[in-house]
Amino acid sequence: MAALPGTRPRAQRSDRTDPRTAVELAPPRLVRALIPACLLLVAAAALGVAVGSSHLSLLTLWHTVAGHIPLLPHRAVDPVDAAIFWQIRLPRVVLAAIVGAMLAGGGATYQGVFRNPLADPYLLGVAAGGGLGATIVIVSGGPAGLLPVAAFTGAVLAVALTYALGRTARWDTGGGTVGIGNTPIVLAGVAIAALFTAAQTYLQQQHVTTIQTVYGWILGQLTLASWSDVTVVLPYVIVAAVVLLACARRLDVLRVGEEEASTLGIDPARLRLLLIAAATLGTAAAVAVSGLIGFVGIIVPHTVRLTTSSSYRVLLPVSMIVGAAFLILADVAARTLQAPAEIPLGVVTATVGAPFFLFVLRSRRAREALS
Amino acid sequence: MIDIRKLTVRLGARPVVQDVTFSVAAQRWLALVGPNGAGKTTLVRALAGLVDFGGSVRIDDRESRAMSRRDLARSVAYVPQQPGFPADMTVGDYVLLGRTPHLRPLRSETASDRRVCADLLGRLGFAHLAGRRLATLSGGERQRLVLARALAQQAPVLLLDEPTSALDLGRRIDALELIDELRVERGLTVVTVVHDLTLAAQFADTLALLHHGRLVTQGAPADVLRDEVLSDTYDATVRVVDDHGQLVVTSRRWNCWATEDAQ
Ligand SMILES: Nc1ncnc2c1ncn2[C@@H]1O[C@H](COP(=O)(O)OP(=O)(O)O)[C@@H](O)[C@H]1O
Ligand SMILES: [Mg+2]
Repeated sequence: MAALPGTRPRAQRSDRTDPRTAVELAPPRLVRALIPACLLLVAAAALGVAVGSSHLSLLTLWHTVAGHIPLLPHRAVDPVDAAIFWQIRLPRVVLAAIVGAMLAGGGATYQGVFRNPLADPYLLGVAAGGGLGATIVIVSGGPAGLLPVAAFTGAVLAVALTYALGRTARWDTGGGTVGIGNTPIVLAGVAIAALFTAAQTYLQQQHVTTIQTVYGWILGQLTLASWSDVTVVLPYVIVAAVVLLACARRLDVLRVGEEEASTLGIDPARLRLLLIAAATLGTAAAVAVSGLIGFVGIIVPHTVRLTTSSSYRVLLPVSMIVGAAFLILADVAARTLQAPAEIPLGVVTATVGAPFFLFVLRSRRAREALS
Repeated sequence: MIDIRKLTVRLGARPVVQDVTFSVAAQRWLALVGPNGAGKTTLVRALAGLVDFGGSVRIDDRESRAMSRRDLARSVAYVPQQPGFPADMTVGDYVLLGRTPHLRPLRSETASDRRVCADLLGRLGFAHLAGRRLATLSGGERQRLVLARALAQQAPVLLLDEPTSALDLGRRIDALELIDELRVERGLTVVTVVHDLTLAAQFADTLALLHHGRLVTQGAPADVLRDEVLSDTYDATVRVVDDHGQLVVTSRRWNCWATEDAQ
């Protein structure tokens, strides 16, 4: 057959797809992002244990720690300083780090699961449930030891209700897909949060004498942090962190959408349940010992996303470390700015965090990433 | 090889695909054609395991219903009509997602997974774009990139829902030519939804014409592309013209030929 008019030779068509072109694909740049994050955490922790109503010099800190490590040279330390360090400062810094890491990691996870930049770890009712549990104990004059248990129970209960109701709601995702779709769960979360918050507000209004205690809890604080708090939350947060980090790559797959993710071999509904369960246990435990500290779960992951990488394999671990550092620093501000009084931690995270976040948001890199 | 028997899909109460039976031999190309709403997308989604269906779908002699998601993803690569492109994901990371069904549980990509993807990026012309963010790609580049991701699955069956609808005249040919080259090169069985019947006739071995969820006819392009069949199915005045041995499908305004013939 004669060549058709206008027909180009085949070879010319394929020349831009040369099989010999070598491409290198590097693994995710986790280490490069982790190093500055870890340095920040160490610096924050050092500041956190040094600063307070009685100042401990870095040298004193060094000798205090070195005294517990065999073979390291050290001087004897004033036992009062040692007690301040071991029993007051350190547990508080460690607890701030654990709570901050959990809130930031939980926020990043929810933003991935719900593919919504506004998702925070309180999205499905942890805050409302925890708030109601804590308020019940406070207004009924229950023992202080019961407060974390009630807050934890309330938080887990609220999310369990949200999930059970949201999951059973039938929802047409447009493609006739079976059992996929986040919207009903998020909406159920809104409803459950409204319900629990209404109950909490009502109780609070009925008991005016305890209103300041309730508010103190709701705004978040680490005032009474002790090693026993640390041992209570740590197991939950470790389990949660392990699960979240193990799912990081699957969260990256989910970024192309639930349907495409499922044609790549992922089960989005099961992944969502696993991540909600893990994040809820960890966040509820954090809320139980620290109250409702807002904003960390939103600004930390977004700051990390805008400055390092949007891959969850980088974003999740780095957010946890930066979240830990951020909350340590916020707590330093909370207890020093108006010493001897303490500013509620949630107030600090917002007033320090919001301007900083706006600064990051307006950076050149962010404008490129968001364009 | 794909073997479909009495495939039926109900969405809501309505049957959207009814009693469709056909098969595609290994390394062949079948184009699904038919008017809007005929059920083409739904049929392809059933093959990809995204909707419940009645009847049977066998991929390389295995019942697809009995396969796990992961197994199915290693047998069938699916590209929807409008794939998700996370704006701030890089080209390299995007293609690596295609390796998901091959990863060991809880593991990241190995060096060999990265090599598979790197080779594909080179093959499809992304040699210098691996670090680019998806937001910065053109329509044609996106089209090739999503193909690269699908090929990274190394599945013997490739399902493409309207792969050329966002492309201009020349890029359409380029894209289909590329799919054909890859089909031959990698021994793929290809099923595409195509609206352009002239192009479908040039590239596909077989056409399957769907209408109201039913298979109207299937066979070689010359057997399916007939004036009366197409005019009825598409409810339009369609004429198939032979241009140097190539079938060209044309559509006209109503009565256009009637007046011509009367003269
Ligand atoms: N979730 C759904 N529920 C009910 N009908 C649906 C749903 N999704 C699609 N349909 C209908 O199924 C028919 C086939 O749709 P589709 O497979 O997308 O057609 P095509 O791809 O051939 O244009 C259409 O009439 C459409 O309205
Ligand atoms: Mg369609």
